[in-house]
Amino acid sequence: MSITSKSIKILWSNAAGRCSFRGCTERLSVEEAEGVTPYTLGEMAHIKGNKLGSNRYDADQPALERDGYENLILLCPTHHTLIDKAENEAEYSVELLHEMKQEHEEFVSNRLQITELKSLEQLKDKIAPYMAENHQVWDQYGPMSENARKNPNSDQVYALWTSERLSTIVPNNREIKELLVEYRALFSRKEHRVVSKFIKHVESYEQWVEDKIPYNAVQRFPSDFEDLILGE
Amino acid sequence: MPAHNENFPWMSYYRNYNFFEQRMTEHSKVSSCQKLDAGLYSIELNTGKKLNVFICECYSFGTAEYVESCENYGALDAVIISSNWCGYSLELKRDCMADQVGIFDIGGFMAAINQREYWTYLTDYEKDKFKEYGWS
Ligand SMILES: [Zn+2]
Ligand SMILES: [Zn+2]
Repeated sequence: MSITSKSIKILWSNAAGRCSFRGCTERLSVEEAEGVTPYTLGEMAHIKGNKLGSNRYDADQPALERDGYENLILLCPTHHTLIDKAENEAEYSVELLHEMKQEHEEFVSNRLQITELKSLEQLKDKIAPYMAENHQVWDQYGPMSENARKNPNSDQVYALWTSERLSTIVPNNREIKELLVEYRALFSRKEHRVVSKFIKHVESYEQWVEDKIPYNAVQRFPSDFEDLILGE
Repeated sequence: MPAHNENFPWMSYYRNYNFFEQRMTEHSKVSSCQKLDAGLYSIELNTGKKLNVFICECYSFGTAEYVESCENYGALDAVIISSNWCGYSLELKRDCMADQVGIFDIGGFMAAINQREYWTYLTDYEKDKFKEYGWS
């Protein structure tokens, strides 16, 4: 058994590519995972140890669960080393690590839901920075970028694109979608079509995360949504 | 949405496939690699078999693109989607396998020509998907 690309993508996107250790939130980068395939980014630590003798090992855990998303936590190299030191086994228990993981994922998924929004303008202001961030990543590492066109066979540059999709684009999309669903009524009837198109795009992105479709099959980002949010 | 060029033969940015050519020159099962046209190669294997291979950077290579390629270059033995950012449809891969034509990325092609029925080579991801769809 090994960690599947689906588990990696879910773990990485739920943690927004950041260390889940309480108080850390260090942004992980591909360089930390040198020499591995583009998908195995960062440090995916096992909550219950993955082999006999490792910390928190549970002999009764089925192999499939051992490498599943539920039993993994994304950590920076420092904190991965810390929790796996033999003398720290009692301090970093299975329960505590699950708690940290949950806290971190909640923090990631609640970034945008702070105040009650009253107008369409407020909603657009809230969404715009996340769209801009996604756009920048796309420009820098996406299929149309100079990076992609000039280095079509570079695994390293491609790994950066994969990691940015998981740590920036997917978490941002989730937040934007949630806001859109909650505040849909603020849009005019005419605008609903564009909003729906964007939501479809986000949902098909999630299918890529779930390993149901290859990235090339993800529905394209509808540029009229950008006009809707950023335009006057 | 192509990586670079929108139309056949979907050439790379630098208009060459040096990376691919180098891999072919180094491959133990390849005796010669000859460029015939833009993106079109004749790869001769040690067995004496010659393959008509088309390589491109089409963002999403599917049936329509495959048909267009054959219209331009005649019958192909393999198609390689060069860029990491580009890909091909699994439906096309399956359909071409039935005609003994292989669809790959560069790594896939390198692995495939180690076996006699090279067009049947599947990556682990593809094996899983073929099983899931009940294709194999
Ligand atoms: Zn570990
Ligand atoms: Zn950390």
